[in-house]
Amino acid sequence: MFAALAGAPSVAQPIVWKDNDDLPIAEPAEDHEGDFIWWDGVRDMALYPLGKILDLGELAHEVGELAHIVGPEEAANVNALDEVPDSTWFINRHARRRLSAEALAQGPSGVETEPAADGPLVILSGKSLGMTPGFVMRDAKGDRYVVKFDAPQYPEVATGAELVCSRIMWALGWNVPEYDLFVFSDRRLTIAPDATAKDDYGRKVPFTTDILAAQLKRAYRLPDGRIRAIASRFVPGTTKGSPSLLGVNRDDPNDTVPHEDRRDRRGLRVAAAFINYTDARRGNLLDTFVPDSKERGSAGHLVHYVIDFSSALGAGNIDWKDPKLGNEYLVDPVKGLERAMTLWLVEPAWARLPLQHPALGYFESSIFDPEGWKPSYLNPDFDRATLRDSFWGAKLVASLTDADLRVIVHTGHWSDPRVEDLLTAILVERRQRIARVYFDWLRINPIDRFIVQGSSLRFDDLAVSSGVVDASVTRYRYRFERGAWSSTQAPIVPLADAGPARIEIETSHDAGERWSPPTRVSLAPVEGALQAAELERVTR
Amino acid sequence: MKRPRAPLVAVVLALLSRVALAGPPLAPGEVRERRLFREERPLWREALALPYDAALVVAWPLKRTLFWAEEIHLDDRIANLVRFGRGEDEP
Repeated sequence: MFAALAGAPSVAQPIVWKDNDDLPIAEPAEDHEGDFIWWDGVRDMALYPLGKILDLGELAHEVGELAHIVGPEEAANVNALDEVPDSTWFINRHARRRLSAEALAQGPSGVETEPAADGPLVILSGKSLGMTPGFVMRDAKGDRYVVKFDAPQYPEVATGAELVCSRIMWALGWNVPEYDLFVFSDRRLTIAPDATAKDDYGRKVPFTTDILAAQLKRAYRLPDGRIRAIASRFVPGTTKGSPSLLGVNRDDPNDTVPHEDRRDRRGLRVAAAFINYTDARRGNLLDTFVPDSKERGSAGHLVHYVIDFSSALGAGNIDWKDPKLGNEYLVDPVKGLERAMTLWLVEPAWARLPLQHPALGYFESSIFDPEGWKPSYLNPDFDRATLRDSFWGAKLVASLTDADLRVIVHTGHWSDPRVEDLLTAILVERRQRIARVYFDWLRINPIDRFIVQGSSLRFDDLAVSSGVVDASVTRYRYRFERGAWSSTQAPIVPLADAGPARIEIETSHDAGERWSPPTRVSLAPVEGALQAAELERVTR
Repeated sequence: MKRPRAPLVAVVLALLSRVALAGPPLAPGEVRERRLFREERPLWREALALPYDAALVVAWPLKRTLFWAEEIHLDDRIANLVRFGRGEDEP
């Protein structure tokens, strides 16, 4: 949409910070294809890679990219500053305007939303999907919640992961449902007369007291007999199933960018790697249709959520996550072949990982490789991520300071206080590893946040601000309109006048020995003030 | 003087925005026309993707089979049959 910079514009359009993908549309049909994980896995692990060969246009582009004839196919929903505008998929939050500690701890709702502390809890149905035990209930206020438990032998593992990771993902910008800790006595539970569940063979059956007893047997109880659970209030609107990972929803006229070309879908990979969200698949996305009015048949728009973090960090829904996940696909033919070639004598690093803590499983940072990290099975959106997409994702992750992470980790309500220290330390180290990889100046110029201040252009070196490079070794060189290079040690470019300009900036993190690919910034008056109007990041 | 009016103004604005939003749905073409971001895939790229589209058609029976197998929990049925010799009605 935005062409490469041809020169400094004399007057620039305001930067698009809000995508208008909430125009009134008719209610789309439901799509539950994402609920079927077997087909999802086969399609993403077998058919999608096959498509890279059978789609001849795709193949030609891949070959062109390998031969350095064409560049990578960049995301389509970015503004002139290479940022993602707010939309029904993603809202710029902490990385753009810092959230308070209270807001970080509160998460999506901004208010207390947990179920009523007293009164009956009416079970409406069993949980229709997922491995974690639980049910759907209505509290005394009339709000509906999905309730999920920890397995008895794995207290706090899944619930802690859900509480912490939902807040991280929300702070970074994705829409997530509200997840609150809910401790309750099973004496409050009643079963609605028409409540249903599914039996072991997936058949709908009445939700009986026997089924409830079986469910509660699979729930961890506190020493006082109460149950520690997660209550997730139903998101506003009517659920419509999961959006596909490829293409657009033909039922939604607002959906005009193929999902694999959305930066918020591609860049999610970095955030998922950060929290070890290996279950980042189609079934864990959710669309809801939010009507504009309460009238029947009202127009409205879809809102897109990322859901279910009970298998993030070291949690595997009902137990600890296999440490293989995150390092290899569930079924990984390449790794399997590699191991076979060594006659299974070479043990992978993940197989030697110690248990970090009973509440955290094997979640750790010492062998975490942000680029090598894998979801349970191939995710086509993640597969399409370019370095610019990952740089964007890393910026989001790096926006969480040590103190921010500590605030969020505290919301896991861990009974052992050591877990807070340990989990914060692991997340800090994973964040630093992400910064080291994606703010690598030899691949992309890690400068950002350009501000015209008086007669100079100031910017941040993200590698320095995130603490992975020392400011003493940084140098910056710049030139105007292909003129001569000037260099500086501070991230400041003096401006000759207050007019439009096009500046090319390169960064060195070895005191000027080698230089990064350029970042080109065009300055132009936007709504009366000179500011960065266009940005071009070159990658290597 | 202005303070007492502020809540009233907020209510009026909220009502007006409600009315403005509560209109009928726009025609799909009009929505597409108004969108700030949209990506068009040229026809020739669609044509070059035809072999892959054909593969998807060929895979359709597999897709339906896997949907069915997962829906009826075929894995559990087989496991129960092998381990316990249990029939369909005794999960």
